[in-house]
Amino acid sequence: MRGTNGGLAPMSFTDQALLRLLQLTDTAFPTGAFAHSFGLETYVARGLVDTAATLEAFIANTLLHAVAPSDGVACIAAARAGADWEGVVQRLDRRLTAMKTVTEFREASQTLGTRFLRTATQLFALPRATRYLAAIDAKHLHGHMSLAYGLTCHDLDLPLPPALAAWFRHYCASLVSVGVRLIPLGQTAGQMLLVRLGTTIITAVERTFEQDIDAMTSFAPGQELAGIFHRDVLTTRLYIS
Amino acid sequence: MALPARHHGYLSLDLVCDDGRTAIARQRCRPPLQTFGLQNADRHGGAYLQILNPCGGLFEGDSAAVEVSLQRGARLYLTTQAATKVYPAEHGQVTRQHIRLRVAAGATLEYFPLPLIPFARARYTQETKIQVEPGGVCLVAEVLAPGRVARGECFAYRMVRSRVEGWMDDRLALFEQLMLQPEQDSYAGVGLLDEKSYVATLYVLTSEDLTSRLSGWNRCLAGPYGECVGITALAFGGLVVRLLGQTGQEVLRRLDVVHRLIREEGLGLPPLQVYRPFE
Repeated sequence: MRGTNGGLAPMSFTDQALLRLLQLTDTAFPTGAFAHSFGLETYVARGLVDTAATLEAFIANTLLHAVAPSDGVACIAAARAGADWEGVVQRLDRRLTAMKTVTEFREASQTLGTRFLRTATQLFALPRATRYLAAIDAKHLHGHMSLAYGLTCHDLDLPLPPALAAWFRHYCASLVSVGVRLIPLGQTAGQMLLVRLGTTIITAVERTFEQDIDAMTSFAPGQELAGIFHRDVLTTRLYIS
Repeated sequence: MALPARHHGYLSLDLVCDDGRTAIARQRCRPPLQTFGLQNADRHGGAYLQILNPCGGLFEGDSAAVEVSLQRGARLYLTTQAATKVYPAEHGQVTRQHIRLRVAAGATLEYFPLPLIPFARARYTQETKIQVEPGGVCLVAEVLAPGRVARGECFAYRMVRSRVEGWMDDRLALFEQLMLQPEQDSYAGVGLLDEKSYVATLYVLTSEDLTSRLSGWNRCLAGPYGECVGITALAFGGLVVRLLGQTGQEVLRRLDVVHRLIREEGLGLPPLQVYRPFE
């Protein structure tokens, strides 16, 4: 990360915080994220993503214009919420459900979020995350990955800029893995792609911290169309979304 | 230099069903917003109305507000007489438009304004709030042009922000917000506009369950439109249609096809018999 970090607080870790962050954002953490392509499978099937460069463009565009300004903003708002956190999370949970218009993406967010909470709450003492999971199980709330992660970051007192960067990197790594298998690309090409995406991840983190809840946006019509066609038109599918 | 005071247009419409025919119960307007007279939209009591802005567009610092309320049984197809042209913000002031739509049970509102065309250096923000009672239907279309393409202006505006909130029976069913700043970012790429120039969205708020038809509709639309038109279901009922196109005519024709599909096959509404400039 850059020294100034876009005006954000300096990134500092305890050793334990670093280890927890690495564990929670490991692609092996059992949320089922590896089974989702978020529309990428449709793009590969249509031949519109067929190289490392086009894969990088898909990941960078969707991170900057859909994931960061909606889920990223919600994640930080949940992590920073004060005593009225339940009201904040309830409002964000409903807004995210209304914002995620593509059925596959909405269900993915809910499934990943719930699975993340089930595992994380078994590993650590997470008072807010546990309350959120109870509200999901009681069907009072829908459950979204960004809020689950944000509350977990709060409960573990993880430093937010690196926590967000790690989560965005997880999004990138998951989609690089999908691209490596589907296009296909070599493993080294995939790792080089992740290195190049580092700049985009840092930009996405900086932009996310500049926004408040009211400014949550999302603009990725191509990805949304790909999600729609993944469900209804694509005849052969390896991924859930 | 201070900017002269700008127009603050206002249009408020209240429509009712009077003996099977839709009629205006109350209309208030402040220039420049006006309407043409109410016409028949079909042979079954539905009405057609055009909003007129004789200024030829919205200028820097302008603010316009449109409020439409439909009472039980009323049916209205509401459009604009021309595209909404947003002029340059040479002094940095934002042009604003607020739209508020209320639809009672048993009423149907179709709000299909012609495309939004933000000129070079324009700054525009639009907020749309839709409230639909159970048993009501509201269809709202948004078509965003890249600019005055014929003059070579393509994504030359400074900012377009659009926010849409859809409430069904006091529950947030739809929330969309986009903020486009082409000087900062390119939106042409894969995952975004996929090298297309026009983007359109059709929101369908209804408590009628149309999900069983979606797969068939999407397969039907995928062939002729090259996967540039797709319909998805919201969490609590209602649909969202995404459309991409290379020209305004192309995206408007695609919007018309999917609109007819949803309103006639899905909602069982009678065919519209109105003039539309893209037909």
